[in-house]
Parts: sequence; C-alpha cells; structure tokens
Amino acid sequence: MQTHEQYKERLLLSIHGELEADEQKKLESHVADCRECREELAHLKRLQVAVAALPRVSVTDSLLQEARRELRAAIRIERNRTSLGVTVGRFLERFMAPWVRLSAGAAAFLAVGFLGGALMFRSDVSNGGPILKQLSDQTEVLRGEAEITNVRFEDADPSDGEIAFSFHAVSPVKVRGNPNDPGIQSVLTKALMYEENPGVRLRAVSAITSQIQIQLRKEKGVDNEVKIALINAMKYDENPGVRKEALHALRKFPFDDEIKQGLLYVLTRDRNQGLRVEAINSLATAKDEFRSSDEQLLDVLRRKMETDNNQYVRLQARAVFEEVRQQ
Amino acid sequence: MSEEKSPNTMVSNDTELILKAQQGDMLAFEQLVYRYDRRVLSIAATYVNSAEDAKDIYQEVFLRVYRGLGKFELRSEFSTWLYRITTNVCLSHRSRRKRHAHSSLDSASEGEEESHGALPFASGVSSDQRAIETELSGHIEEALRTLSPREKLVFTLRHFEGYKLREIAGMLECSEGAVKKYLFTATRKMRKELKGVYG
Repeated sequence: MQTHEQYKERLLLSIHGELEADEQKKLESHVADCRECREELAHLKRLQVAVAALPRVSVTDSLLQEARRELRAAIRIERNRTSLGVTVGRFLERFMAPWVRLSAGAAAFLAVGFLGGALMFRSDVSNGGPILKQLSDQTEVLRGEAEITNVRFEDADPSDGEIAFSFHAVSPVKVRGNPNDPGIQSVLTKALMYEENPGVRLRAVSAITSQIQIQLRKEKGVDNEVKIALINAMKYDENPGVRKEALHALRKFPFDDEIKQGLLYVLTRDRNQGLRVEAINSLATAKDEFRSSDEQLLDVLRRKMETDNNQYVRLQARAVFEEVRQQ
Repeated sequence: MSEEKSPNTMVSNDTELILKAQQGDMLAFEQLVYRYDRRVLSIAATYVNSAEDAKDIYQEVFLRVYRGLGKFELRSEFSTWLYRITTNVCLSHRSRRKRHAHSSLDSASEGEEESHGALPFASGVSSDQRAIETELSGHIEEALRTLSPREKLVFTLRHFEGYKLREIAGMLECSEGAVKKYLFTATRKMRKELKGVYG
C-alpha cells in the first residue's frame, strides 16, 4: 500500500513520462478515486505549463558561430601560452638541486614533440624526395634551447639518487621547401587555423592559394583537409581579412556542395557587407552549377534579395535567383 | 536528438577523430567539437539563460576537452565524457559578467541578423497579457535562483532540454534515484516560491 507522499512522487514522475506502463495504470486508477491526488496533479501540470512558457536563450546559428570563433581564439591563446615554458637549463636550475640535476640528466625521459615539426613531416618521408630540410634536432633540448612545457613527474622522489619525468620540448623548426609538399601544406593549414597573428593567417592563405594553383595546373587533386580548413576560416575566422582571403582561395577549387554551403553560410550570417558581396559574387560565378530544384539555395536567395541591407547583395541575389529558377 | 555533423565527418567516427586529435591534428579536433557543440551550448544556455554566460561555459568545456583529450583513453564514449565535463562546468559556473539574463548579443548588429536572446512572446497577445507573462517569468527566474546548482541543473535539463532522468544521472555521475530526489526537491521549492503566482 502506497502512502500519499509516494503517490505524489509518482505523480511528478508521471507528468515527466518516467513511469512504466503498469505503474502509470495503477497511478491513474488511484487518482480517479483520490481528490487530493487529482488536485496535486493539476497543480503540477500548472507548474509545468508555467515553466515551459519561460523564455530561454535559444541557440541560434549566429550564437553558435560566435561561440566557435571565441573558442578558436581561446585555443590559439592556450597553444601559445603552453609554448611559453622555461628552457631545460632554467628548469633544471630553478627546480632541482645540483646533485639531482646530474642524475636527472641520465634518468629523464624526453617526450619530445616538435610543434609544427617532426609529427607533421612524416608524410614527407613516405613521399620520398628531399623536399624538406629540417634544420633542428633534439640536441637543442639538451643544450637548453628548447621551450619546456607539460612537465610530469613519474618518480619525484630524489632519495634514491634518481628522479624521472617527462615533458614536451618545443623547439623552433626551420623549414625550406616546396609549397606543393604535403608537410608544408599541413603546416600552412594549421597556421591558418591556429596561428594567433592574423597577418600570419593571411600569409598562410596566400601560400595555400599559390599552391592550389600549382596543383590544379598539374591536374593533381587538392587536399580535402586544406579545403575544409579554408571553408572553416571563411566561416569562423574572427578577422574579416582572413575570411575574405579564404573565400578568394576557395574560388580556385572546383565548385562543390561543401563550398556552396560555406558561401551560403557567409551570405546568411556574416555581418560584414563586403564578405556578403564576395559570397554572392562567388555564387553568381557558379550559377551554372545550380539546379532550379535547389530549394535551400532559392530560399536563401529569396530572403537576401528581400532583406539584405546591402543594395548590391539584394540585386545580385535577385539576378542569381532568377537565373537559377529558369534553369 | 541528433548530433550535428560537419561535412566530411561522414567517414570518420569519434574514435578516428580522437586518435587524430591526440596526434595534434587540430582539424580533427574541430570536427569532433562541431559534432557536439550545439548541444553543449544548448545545455549551457538553458542552465544560465544568458548568451554570454552560455558562451563562457561552452568555451571552458572545450578548453577542458582540448587539455584533457591527450589522456582520454577511449574506455568510455566521448559524448559521455563531454557531457560530464559540461555539467561540471555548469555546476561550478558563476556569472562573471552579471549581465541581464535576457540580454541579446545582437543588439548592435544589423537588423537582419537573427536574435539569440530569449524567445519573444507570441505575437498577437495584448500588452497587458505580455506584462503579466513578463512578471510571471520574473517570478519563475527568481524561484530558479533558490535552487542549489544540482537541483537547478536537473530541473532545467528535464524541463527545457527534455533529457530523461537516466540520461541526467549519466551526465552527473550519480544514481537515477539521486536525480529523482533533486527533481522532487527542486519542484517542491519551486512550488513554495511560486505559491499564489501561477494558475
């Protein structure tokens, strides 16, 4: 036999759809005969309706876009912050007594990750050809010229004369090579995505653009990752100059649905009128690729030709809209 | 609820993306983020009811993911780990900017941009009716502030996000019974605070 308190708890679960079918049936049968529970149920429903009507912040595409841009900037800062470690020498001087330093030199496990270096250039080795010349090596770490981050002690007890730790050593890597090389492309792509300085991001786009031209001239396929990075930069980079350069670079790619989606995104969301002008121009250039059945495209164009506050965008949107409809 | 997929994630599953991201592939990391980030932002927005604070939570969640992904061992689902981080960040969040809960970021933007502030009341209602609804909303917001962080999180996840109690228990790493208790307590407190206000 259940008490009224237990029934009340079940009523709450019931209005949230959390009761099993048989429990629900039993409850309904009880409520039919119990005025107190009927009142309780009515009360809970009124609360539910009142709460449901409470306005909440909605996650719109523009809010998500802002959050992504800010996250990207935060990760850039995070990456730069973690690279501002102390050098090995300074680390050893500051944190260890001399007698420990000697044994640590022998026992330390060096987890060396050359940012933008060794990891990224693996593909180059497999491709053959001495395209990249990596001028740094791990001896820099032991000479104290690398920046040290993420030090983790595996054995911090010096009583036995030894300690063990690992760390990330970040060392500048000088590279000279052909922009066609996959390793260079990879570095440029990452620079485009995560370099804090917008000027460097712009130069990365510029280098990527020249490399795309070379690849297309040689009828080689263009790396999909590069394209995705450019689309993301066009959509989310906080610097309008970088967004614009990325958009220009994408004009060199064979037009496809991913690029179209990116352009529609810019046309719909970017607050910079210049970017929207560039986006509608790109779409106008590619208009032969569209079909009159492309409702998503037509819907965006219809809205832009009616509501965009830039007259050129409105006129171009109308022109593209009418041409696509006639196809 | 379906996850948002970015264009070229069709061929990559979470595990592939995680492994690539752990090797320093930032594009893979971004793709992983974009699969889940709308829902993370939605949970945060529902909890704090402020676009600015929701973005703060979003950023903190994914920075923790970024810092911790290297140690993620694929023993559990990435989404489980992510939502646990999300609820932890929500629970420890304190509004830094102390802006009005319904402020819209787009106030200075061009008119065509959609607002991501609180949803407007339905058009066609009278100004008197709107005033009553605004007052009621204010009371409910006040009542929500009387809940403990966990009670509020359970209450908002259930009422506004529609998560099942079992799912909420997974996010909070507690038993379903504990979640029920939070929901009962939250409901009792809300009723007490709102006595005579609604219905």
